[in-house]
Amino acid sequence: MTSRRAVPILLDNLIWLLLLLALIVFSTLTGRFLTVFNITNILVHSAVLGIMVIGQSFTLVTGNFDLSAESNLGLIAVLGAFLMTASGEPFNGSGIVLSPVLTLLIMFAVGLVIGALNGQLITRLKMNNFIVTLSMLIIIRGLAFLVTHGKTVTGIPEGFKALGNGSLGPVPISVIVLLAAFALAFFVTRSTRFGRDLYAVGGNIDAATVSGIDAHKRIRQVYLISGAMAAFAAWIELGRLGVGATRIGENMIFEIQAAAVIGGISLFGGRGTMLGALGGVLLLSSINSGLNLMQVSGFAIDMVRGIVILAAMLIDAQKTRYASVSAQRAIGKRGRA
Amino acid sequence: MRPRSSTPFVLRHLIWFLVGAIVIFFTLTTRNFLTVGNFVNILFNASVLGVLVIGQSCTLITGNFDLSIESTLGLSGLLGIWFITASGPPLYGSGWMLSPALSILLIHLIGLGIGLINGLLITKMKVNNFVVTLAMLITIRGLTLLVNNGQTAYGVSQAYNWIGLGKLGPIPVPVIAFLLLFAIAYVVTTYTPFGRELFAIGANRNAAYASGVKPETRIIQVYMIAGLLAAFAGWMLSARLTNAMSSMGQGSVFEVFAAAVIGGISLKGGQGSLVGALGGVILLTTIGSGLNLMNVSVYWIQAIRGLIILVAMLIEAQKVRYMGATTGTGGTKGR
Repeated sequence: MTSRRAVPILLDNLIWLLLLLALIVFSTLTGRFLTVFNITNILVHSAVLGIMVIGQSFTLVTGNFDLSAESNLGLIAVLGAFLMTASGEPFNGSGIVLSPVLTLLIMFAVGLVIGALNGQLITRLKMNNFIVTLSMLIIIRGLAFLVTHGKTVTGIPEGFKALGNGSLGPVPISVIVLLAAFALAFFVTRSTRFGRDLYAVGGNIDAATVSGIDAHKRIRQVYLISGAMAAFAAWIELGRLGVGATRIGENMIFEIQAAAVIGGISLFGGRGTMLGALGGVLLLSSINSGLNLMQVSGFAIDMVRGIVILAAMLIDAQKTRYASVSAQRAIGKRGRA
Repeated sequence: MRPRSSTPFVLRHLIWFLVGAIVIFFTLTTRNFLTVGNFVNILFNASVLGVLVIGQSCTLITGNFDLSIESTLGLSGLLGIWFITASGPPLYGSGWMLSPALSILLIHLIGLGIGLINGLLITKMKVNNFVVTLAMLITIRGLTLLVNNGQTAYGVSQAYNWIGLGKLGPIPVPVIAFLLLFAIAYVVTTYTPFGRELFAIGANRNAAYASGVKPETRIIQVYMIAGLLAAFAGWMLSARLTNAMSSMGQGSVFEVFAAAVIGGISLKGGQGSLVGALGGVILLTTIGSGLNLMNVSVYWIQAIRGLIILVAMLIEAQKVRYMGATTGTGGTKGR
């Protein structure tokens, strides 16, 4: 009896088991893994990916992709850097030297406008979300190239960079921000009407509409959130890198979706939690860090990461099969009784 | 499955009307657009994308994604050159000095193998197709980096490079290869039981199964086709460039999807034709060529292309709505 009840609990928290397994393996293989310094490092490296995963998870929960998020991050980052800096070499900025506060306003405005555009095209013009955001991915990356013609921008004000490279006491600000953002996202999705609506829309959009939820409005809202999260991630990334480059975020969408899906967010909507998504982010970052510490060739890390993602998904698929088999068994028993 | 005959002619062949509109636009705005040379050039530039789109269309028709093809292209292109060249500078090959024929054979077997793994994981282990091929995209790109430690390999074998740079009379070999493959794919998907089964699986997998189709076998087969064609595209691209970077093909899966979907291949499976997909490929490549001839700044080209893709998709979406309204079946299919 107890084992039968324990199995589902273990399966639901699979991502944390995998994370624990990764921690045990890496701390056995290298002495430097389980140190405060390294754990902090893992969290710092999780910040940008984590913020992007929050935005993506919001759209995924409603059953929608946002492929454009990576280009959004790139455009906003390079535009932000461009606005704040002097023109000419070595800065390659606009020469406007806009204040960081105004720049941030513009960055978030751009993110929200892109999110709004995605949402409008999907809900009002009834276009497929994958296709809309795929086109936007291409367009926005093109726009990012236009801003500086591919040049890297330097000379970003120190105050602006604090979010990405500053610390409060021993704790990096980006880590605090990451954890706070996940806590907030967890609260919103779990404990507000808005959050419950998102799961309802993702679970069955027709049923959600029948029960009085304005599904299209909710979808427009999650794309706004995704756009804002891209702006937020751009802010952190500029601080962390110290420069603005056109290619920031390129091909990141694959990692974003891998983290979300490993963490249990379903691509079909309606399933998964923000806590799980955080687990997915931490697992990917831990693997990176562990392989680095083990001095695995940088060229091998990508492959190992891919295999780990594949293995995690394989386990997850077996979990889903197991769950449906045992559910059928339970129904069968009830039917007989 | 196939477009209903009651559908207006223009809507059924919308993609070719879009191609026509773009061709007229560029002919009016640039001097050298409507020449035989430029036409051949467009087909030449379309060849690699086109071969990838064939494979992707086959998987999409069954209702499955294959994101991994861009990485398969990168791996096979690199290995194709790497197998046959000397190690160390200046070529940075393996030093194995395999014959070009053997190397070409091997990379196609690797493509088939990757497709087989994709297919088995999706059908036998029941992992979601998007997720499997996403993980494979990352894994294979990692493997590509690892093979040559990120170093570009340079190819000097004329026999190997023939597929990318050779000519039969005035026509480049890749153009012939890509059009021939499209013709074969069109015939196979339209006129053979195999092809009809792919549409049946994409439209309604359970119904297909009930009527005696083996969806799992067919899905494994389309992934093997996609892997094989990606390997072929990798051979073609590395032969044309006469080198292979480990980042070759990175990001191209987005363009592959765009071309297939603009051409009317549904992401939900069961709908579209290879002729339409060819139209999508030609449209995208024509836009690139035309913008180049108009001397549009390279920095603008990507944004404009993206915008045109979006507009084409928008028109396509309105077409689906219109057809849904006129046939009264609703625009969206259940799953």
